[in-house]
Amino acid sequence: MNQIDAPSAPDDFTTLEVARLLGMSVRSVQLMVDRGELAAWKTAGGHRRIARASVDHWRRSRSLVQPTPEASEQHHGMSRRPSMLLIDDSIHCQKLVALLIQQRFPTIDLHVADDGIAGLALYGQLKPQILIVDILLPGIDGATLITSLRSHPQFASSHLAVVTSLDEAQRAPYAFALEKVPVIHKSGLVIELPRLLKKWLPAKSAARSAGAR
Amino acid sequence: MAMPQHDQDADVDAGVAAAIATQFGGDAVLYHAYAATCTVQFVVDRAAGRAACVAGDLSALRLLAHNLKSALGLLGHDRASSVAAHIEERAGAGDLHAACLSWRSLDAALSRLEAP
Repeated sequence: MNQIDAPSAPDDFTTLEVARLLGMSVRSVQLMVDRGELAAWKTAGGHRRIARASVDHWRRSRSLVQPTPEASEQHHGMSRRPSMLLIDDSIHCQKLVALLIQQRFPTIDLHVADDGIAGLALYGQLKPQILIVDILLPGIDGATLITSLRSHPQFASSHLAVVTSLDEAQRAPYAFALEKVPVIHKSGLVIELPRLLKKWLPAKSAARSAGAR
Repeated sequence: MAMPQHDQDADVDAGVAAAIATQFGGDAVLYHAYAATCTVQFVVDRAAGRAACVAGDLSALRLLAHNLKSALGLLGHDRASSVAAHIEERAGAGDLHAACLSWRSLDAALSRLEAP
């Protein structure tokens, strides 16, 4: 006899529902459950259910609120400001990129995530045109993060670069995710990142930004 | 034998000048703005490093040293950056004793760079 699962109680979500809610892939949500970041249980049929309270708690702890009208505009490509998401746990790197953007690309809307999971969630909400990812991150590393993002429908229309202070040999274990991705060593960030951004930004934005320096 | 202070100062000045010229493409304004944010953050980093050593948290110490290695390297503080690289390597190898011994030296270097 086939086991028929009881319908989800209102206090629980399926993995797919949580993935949609957080703008992540199903696999990312499964990993979060495996790491104990979300409270989950299984039905008699073996289907995973995730407690709404734990999802709410996780979102609050990451300060993930409903998208603002501005962010919603970006979802629909209405915003004139190009958006950029930096996923890097280093406050030093975050500050440097913020200074660089403020000084040379003031038209860019910069958002920052401190770790891979928060980055995945923010990516789903913001759908940024430009994504900059560090490799060594707490939680999931940058390479796993990129692999997860590749399954995101929006990913094809985002420009991606990796920033890292790992040398080429140290990057070898992450090579599976870095193929055809520009990699910027952090020692060359101030020189290399602006070059990439000029290439990626629409001509009008780039011209407005170029006038900033 | 320890280096005389004036030699160390000259070393740091040369490192800073080289960092502005090469890594910041001659943009001294951006360099100094960045250095100002770093000196504030070093206070937080020192506390985090001490806490990681007390807790025996090698993973946190490794990430912290990794991030400091690149920040200090960008600022042209090559000696301190090398110490951070050593801590990262020792922490990655699971050698808490050596990593935390070197942390003391990095902690002292960071305290000299902190905002007055």
